[in-house]
Amino acid sequence: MDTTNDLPNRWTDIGKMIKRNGPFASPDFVPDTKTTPTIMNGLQNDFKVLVIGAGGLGCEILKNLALSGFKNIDVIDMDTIDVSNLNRQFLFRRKDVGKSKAEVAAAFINSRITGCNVTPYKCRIQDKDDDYYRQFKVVIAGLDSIEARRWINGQLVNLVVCDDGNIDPETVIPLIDGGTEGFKGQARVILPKITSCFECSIDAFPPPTTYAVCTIANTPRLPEHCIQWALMFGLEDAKLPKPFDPKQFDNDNPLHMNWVFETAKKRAEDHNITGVTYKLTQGVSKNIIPAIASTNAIIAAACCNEAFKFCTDSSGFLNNYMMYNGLNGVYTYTFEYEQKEGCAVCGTNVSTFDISPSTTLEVFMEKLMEDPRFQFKKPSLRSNGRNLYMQGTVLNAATKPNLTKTLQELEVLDDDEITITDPALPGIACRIKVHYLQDN
Amino acid sequence: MSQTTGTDTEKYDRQLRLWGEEGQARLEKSSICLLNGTATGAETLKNLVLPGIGAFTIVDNQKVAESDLGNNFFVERQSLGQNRSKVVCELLRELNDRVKGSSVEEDPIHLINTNISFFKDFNLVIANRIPEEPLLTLSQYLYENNIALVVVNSYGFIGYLRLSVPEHQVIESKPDTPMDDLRISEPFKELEDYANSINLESLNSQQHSHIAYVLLLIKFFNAWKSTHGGKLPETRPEKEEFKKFFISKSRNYKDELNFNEGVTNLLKAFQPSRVPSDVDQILKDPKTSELTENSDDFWVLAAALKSFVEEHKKLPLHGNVPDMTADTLGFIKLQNIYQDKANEDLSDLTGRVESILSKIGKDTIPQEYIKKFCKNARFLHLARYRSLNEERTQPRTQVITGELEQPDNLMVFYIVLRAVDKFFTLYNRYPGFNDEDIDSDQSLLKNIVNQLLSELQIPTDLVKDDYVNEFTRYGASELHNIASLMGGITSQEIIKLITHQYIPLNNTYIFNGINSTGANWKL
Amino acid sequence: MFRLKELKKQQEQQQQQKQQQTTSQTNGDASSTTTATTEPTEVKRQNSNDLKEIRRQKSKDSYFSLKSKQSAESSTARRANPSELRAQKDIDEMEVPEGCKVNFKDTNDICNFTLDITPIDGLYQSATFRFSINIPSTYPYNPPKVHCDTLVYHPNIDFEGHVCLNILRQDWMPVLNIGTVIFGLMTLFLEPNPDDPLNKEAAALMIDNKKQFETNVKQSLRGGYVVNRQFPKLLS
Repeated sequence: MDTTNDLPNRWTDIGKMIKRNGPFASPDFVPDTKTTPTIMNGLQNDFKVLVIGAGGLGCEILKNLALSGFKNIDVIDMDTIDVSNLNRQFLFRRKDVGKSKAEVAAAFINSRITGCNVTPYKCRIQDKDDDYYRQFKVVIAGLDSIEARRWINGQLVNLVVCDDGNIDPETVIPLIDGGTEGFKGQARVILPKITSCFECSIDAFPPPTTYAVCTIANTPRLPEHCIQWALMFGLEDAKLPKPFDPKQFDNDNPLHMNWVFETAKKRAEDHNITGVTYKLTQGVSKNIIPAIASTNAIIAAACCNEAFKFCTDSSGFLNNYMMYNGLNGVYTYTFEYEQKEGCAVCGTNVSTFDISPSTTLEVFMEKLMEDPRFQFKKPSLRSNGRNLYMQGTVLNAATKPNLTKTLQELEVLDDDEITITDPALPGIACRIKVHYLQDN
Repeated sequence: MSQTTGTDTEKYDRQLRLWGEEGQARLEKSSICLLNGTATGAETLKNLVLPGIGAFTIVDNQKVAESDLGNNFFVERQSLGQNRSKVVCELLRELNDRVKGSSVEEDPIHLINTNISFFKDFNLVIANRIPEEPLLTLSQYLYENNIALVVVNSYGFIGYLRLSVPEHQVIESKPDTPMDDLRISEPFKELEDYANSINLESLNSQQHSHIAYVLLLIKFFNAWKSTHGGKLPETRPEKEEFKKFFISKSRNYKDELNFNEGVTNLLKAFQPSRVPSDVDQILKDPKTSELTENSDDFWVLAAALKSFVEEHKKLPLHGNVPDMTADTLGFIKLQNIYQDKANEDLSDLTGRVESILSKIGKDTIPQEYIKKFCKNARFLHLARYRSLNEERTQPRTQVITGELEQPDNLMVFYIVLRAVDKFFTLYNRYPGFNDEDIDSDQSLLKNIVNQLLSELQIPTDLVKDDYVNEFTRYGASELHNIASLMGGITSQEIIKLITHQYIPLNNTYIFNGINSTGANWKL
Repeated sequence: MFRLKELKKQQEQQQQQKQQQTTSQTNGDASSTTTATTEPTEVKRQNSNDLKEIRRQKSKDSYFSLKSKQSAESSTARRANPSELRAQKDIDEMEVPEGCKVNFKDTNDICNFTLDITPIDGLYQSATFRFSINIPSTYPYNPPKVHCDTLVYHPNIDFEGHVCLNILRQDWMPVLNIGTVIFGLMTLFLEPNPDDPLNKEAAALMIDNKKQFETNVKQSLRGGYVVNRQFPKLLS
């Protein structure tokens, strides 16, 4: 039974934005009325939102969405709760240490915000398929790894149906992506294929701190060099005794971490270097990033504010990147991150190509080169994790025999994508979706 | 568990990496008062309870209403009808058992008007949705008693934050990219001696390529000076020439990383060490000359620093050497030379501190504090905030007008927010709160906006009707996302105020949730 | 959503304009019809399941499918990820320097291969050294991982196979590519750098007693026993 029906004034505040028009609302905004509570219905019944990550940002995002009227929320996170999370991941308590973040977070929200239905998934985002992702109106990500961000970005871009340059808006699912580090953070809105995507900006990410191998090996100067030495050389040095199997090194295991610390400390002492502490050892080994509740709150709220506006049309929108820095005063900077020309993910259009499965690769390539849509000169083809034909010297000989095989023999299935690289292309690659015609 | 401070180092690890155990200790001693347990207030406190402030008190006489369930995370279904301060307090305390929390079931306005000394023992007061008059009364009292006032409001898609404290001292401002203090162009004796003791010609190629660039530059600066009348390169062409000269001294510029580093850091190396203007202001402040036994340690130290600079014409040496290409032994030796000099400067400063203390009859200052002050001499920061009362009686009209004239400015929101407060004072309700009043409230609000602008002698066409209408539309609604965002920003500034680390906002910030932009000003 | 509708409107307008142009060309009489709809814009809320179905249908261009039973995992695995794409482009379009040969154990695994370097000049001339190269899933944000599989007496390569090359670590940038890495590795053999050594003793010897160093190298390449180590015979 939906008990929230008997609390007519619960959503008074959101209600004002949804029921009243205003000068900055979207031109398409049609305010709800008593008889046509369309937007509210959408928020509460029709729309499903996906939250990726139930950590520092994730906890905040879940709370914010629940208190923005959203009812149907999925959350994916494969991690378990650690004590060091408790200073900011406020849906967890000491008794929850060791349990699944997604499950505990969902339970807390469902219990605190009556009527809200958060469904947890303790798995990797890669474990879900296209159909799963298609059901969402918006995806909000509070991730801490480039790899995961890249994946979900690619996934959502791939769901966009783009027929020869015409994007079908119904297949565009926004990705609202937040990230924080100490007193800094950023929130961005990605409309796959329309605005810049995550891959467009991957080059601009600050590179991870790495030290030269020879410095680590022979001319250490900093305590960090000594810690890296323990990790790089100490672990694989059979002459150094370890109370564990080096192949099973786990930087979450205090026993292992302590060994790294002691080893690094000894090396530092041998070179008169000071500063190796257990804390620094953990920081370097695990690449620990300082984190506090306030920054997470700011970025998560900015993200959810965008989700709310997107789903209700009740106001303007972030276009498309907001940076926040709280080190010196409060500094927020908002700008439009432009699409990168030839971006490997969103800059590559997918074009459909009609062909019979019994066509040989050689003939297929001839037809490709004739097609005026593309301007191929020396195309190399790859599909389903397999090289079909490579023009370059490295793999040409190995792939030449494929020319006489049919597409079917090469295990190219209907609807499969073939990625084509060609020095003549402006972007990284071109993607062709194969559309099989019935053989006569 | 920390041996020294007793704090929970495991749970707080991620934040200790930002403000250390000392900052944490300050947080854990703090006592904060929140007026009104609204969504904004609760979210602000959440981000203070989680990292472990000492204690908080919520003053609120409202009962938990249905609408609270729609925007406030710290109320529950079953708490409908109960006093809001009590409910929010309980659910916040649940976040961190090390934090003390209490609730006062009273109208904050009544408290301000009848028992303002209630606030005297707090370090900081957060005011949310307090009308103009009592707010100014509170502001006056807090300012006189050196208690920080933080005003935060969420109104529709707009957020507002204002900080005010008479004086805020920061030693560890922890700038993002601090300048090195290497004294390359004016090396102290030990550094110069070390540089001179190195005979580059006698070194093999491995050794040659591992002499720290600092030493290389000092050596070649000296060589240059000897053929240029004892002067360093000053003009642009001279500096270019030196660069060529320096590169020519490399045996294999492509591979000698140390020479490359020398070139990269050349421009910085030319700069003599200066006293930054921020620090200079502090040293010139009258408080450094009007010392009594009741003076803050900060001012005693500032006075000692002033005397140090008067004699040495420089700030004390920082002592840190950033990593650079060098062999281990050489680098450690270099580090030690800088460290020794820094210690020498510290002793010098300490001596001055002690002599001042004995003159004014004040107790000793812990050596750790002096050391911290000394090491951070270049990064000292002092802020004096205008009170809210000053903001009203002596408005910074130029700043306001200047901003209003810019396209897409956020100052318009500041003006309308001020008008909204005035509206409440006049009519005891917020504009657009009731559906039936929207139209009439729009014109009432517009009149107040125009009146306010006239008083400030600002052309009324600088605030378009759209903004007035938008605020009437909001009808004082409090959206959770905006409340949470402002709660985040506010709590972060409060942490900076309490830990005295990093530099807090001075003094107004507005967040525009319509397009996710923000702006700050000193009003 | 407004932005998506805007986009759709834009596209529709463009379509209509195109159609108008062609009809006016054939009819010779262009009647300008407004493209903007006059009826109130109805905010169409669809049930999320409906949307899911619509989206699924749209992405399947044909109903003749050979992959009706495709599993969830394989559908996303069959899609090229951006690091693979970039690796594909790098490998296919690079100019392999003389003396270098790239080998794929599995020609379809574009992210793992070996590189055989046979320097055409210098001390290590004519001997072949094998490197294992792995392209991480975060490429090109992170550099390729390189390991030297051949035991070699060299100032910048240690006996465990670690290679000290700046572009593999602190000087890596996403604009570099696999070709640059291969070129850099080749340079190590043509111009060993004793000033930033990984093998301290070899480097020191190269500086202090070049002749002895060269002798050691030659001996090691011939499968000799040098510095208490047995080296593989790479030259006769």
